[in-house]
Amino acid sequence: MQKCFSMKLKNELEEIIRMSKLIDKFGDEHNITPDTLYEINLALEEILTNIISYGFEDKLKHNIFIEGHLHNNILKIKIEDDGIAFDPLSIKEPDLESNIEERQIGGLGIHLVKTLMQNISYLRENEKNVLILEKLLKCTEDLIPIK
Amino acid sequence: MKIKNEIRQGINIISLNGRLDSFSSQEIGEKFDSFINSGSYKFIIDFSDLNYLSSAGIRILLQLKKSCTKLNGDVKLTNVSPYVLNVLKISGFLNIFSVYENVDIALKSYFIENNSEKNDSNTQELYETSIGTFKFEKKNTETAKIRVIGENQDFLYAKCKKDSIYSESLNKLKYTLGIGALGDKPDDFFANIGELMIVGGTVVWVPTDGHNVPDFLIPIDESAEIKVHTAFHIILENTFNEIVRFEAKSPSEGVSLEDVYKSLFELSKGRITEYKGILSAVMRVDVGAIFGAGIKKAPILKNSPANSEMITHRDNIKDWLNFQVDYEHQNTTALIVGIGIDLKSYEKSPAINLVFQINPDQKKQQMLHNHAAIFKFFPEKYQSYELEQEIDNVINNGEFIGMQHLLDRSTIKKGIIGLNYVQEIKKRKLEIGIRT
Repeated sequence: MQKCFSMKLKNELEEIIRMSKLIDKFGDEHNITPDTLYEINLALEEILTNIISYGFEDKLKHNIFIEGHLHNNILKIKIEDDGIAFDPLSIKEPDLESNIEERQIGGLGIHLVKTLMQNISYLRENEKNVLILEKLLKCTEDLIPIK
Repeated sequence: MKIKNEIRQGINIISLNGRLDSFSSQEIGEKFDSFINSGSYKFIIDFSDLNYLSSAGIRILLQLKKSCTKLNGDVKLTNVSPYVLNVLKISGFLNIFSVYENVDIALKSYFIENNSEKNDSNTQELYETSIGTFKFEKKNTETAKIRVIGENQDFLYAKCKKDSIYSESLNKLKYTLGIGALGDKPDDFFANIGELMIVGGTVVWVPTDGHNVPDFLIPIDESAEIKVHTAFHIILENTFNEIVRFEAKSPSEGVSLEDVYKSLFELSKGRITEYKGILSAVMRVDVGAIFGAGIKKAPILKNSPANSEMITHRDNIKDWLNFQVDYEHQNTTALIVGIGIDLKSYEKSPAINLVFQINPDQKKQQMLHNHAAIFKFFPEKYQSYELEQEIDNVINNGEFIGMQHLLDRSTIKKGIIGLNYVQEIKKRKLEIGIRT
């Protein structure tokens, strides 16, 4: 298992941009295909947005840690925050069918993460939420596969 | 994130540049609100330079569309990249937003829909759905009507009587489905009433004489008075409102007829304002698996089930219906005439009962009735939108295999569909009854 990126983020939505630059850099270094990179970016944004928007009941500054590890061609991303306990796997599936008048958007972000990642696990540990996303990486063909 | 907008022909065209994520969507959402407040409610959003969209972006697009829909407007998307399209698809938003290839096509679509005059440009509109692609081309804006002859109930309970048989000159009919027979003398054909369809003016009929061999009749001499006798029949009265080219996502396997109609129902909602949840379809398609059913004996009073239940009742179904799964002809071409109703959104009216027997507590989302004339695989000649030409070509040059009442799980690979947004269902008055 090889550590390939890590970052400390503040609980502000602006941080999404810094995060996406980090992921893009990781993609460049490892020749990840653009669709896979999009999906990783999206999953991380959805999770971080949830934490930043709903995770903290105080108005104080908090830190969120993300860390990527590579094992063969699986990327494991750990996201850790000290917000209120929230297991994203526990929320119900969103409405994907009803018409425009009745359509609701709640739960869509988590649905996207579940669809785009190969595995998600959640743990509440030492008053912290620890979420691990696993993504099978695709790399551009002509370059060296990830070890 | 940058946003630009211009107004063309009264439509607000917005270009988004950059990432529409949870950070930028707040600002863009406020911009959308200001457009609505200043009186815009018809939008085209150009995604050419949008390289990233997340659920936060979808949320503000949905809010915009909700506001516009209330004002009779719309939000149409163009130049959507494959990654963004995939996110919209996974999120279930391809049936909320119409997606167009470019701004010009999206712009035109605003005027085609609202303009009752015939539009002579050959603009096609492409929809990518989870089952495949649909390309629509408008043909005419006539009010599509269906005429129903006879009683659905007479057929379902096998209660057809000689004096409720109607005869109709063939040269008046082009696309129909139901039950009936050909022949001169009522005594001869009455007992042979079976599944019948007319496609492109050609009659295809399976007599219930026990042989299960279909008749296939091309009227050569148009002046000849050939009559079709029927106890229950659905007649499509118009040529097509739109022609649709369909191609399944997996062309080797195809997708079920059920899913094709489901997508057509969803897409139709965005195409005309008078959509009533009922479609008629004439298809010239390449099919995969064929699941068919056919009646074994004439649904006439003499044969009525002893238990007075429908012929499809579990105690009767074996005696009455032949279920056929055709694995031999995996690669065939079919001419289909059908009608479908979207039970989630149809406009309730007693006229529906003329066509479908709707069980109030049934859980189905749609009801379909399709008949298919099946041919050995026959390639399309022009890959065009000329459905009637292509149908004639199959009829005149294809190798006919048989006819089936198609079950919804039969699969379709690709082809042309002539679609009508049915506005009226009328019962045909007895014009030429052969009351004996």
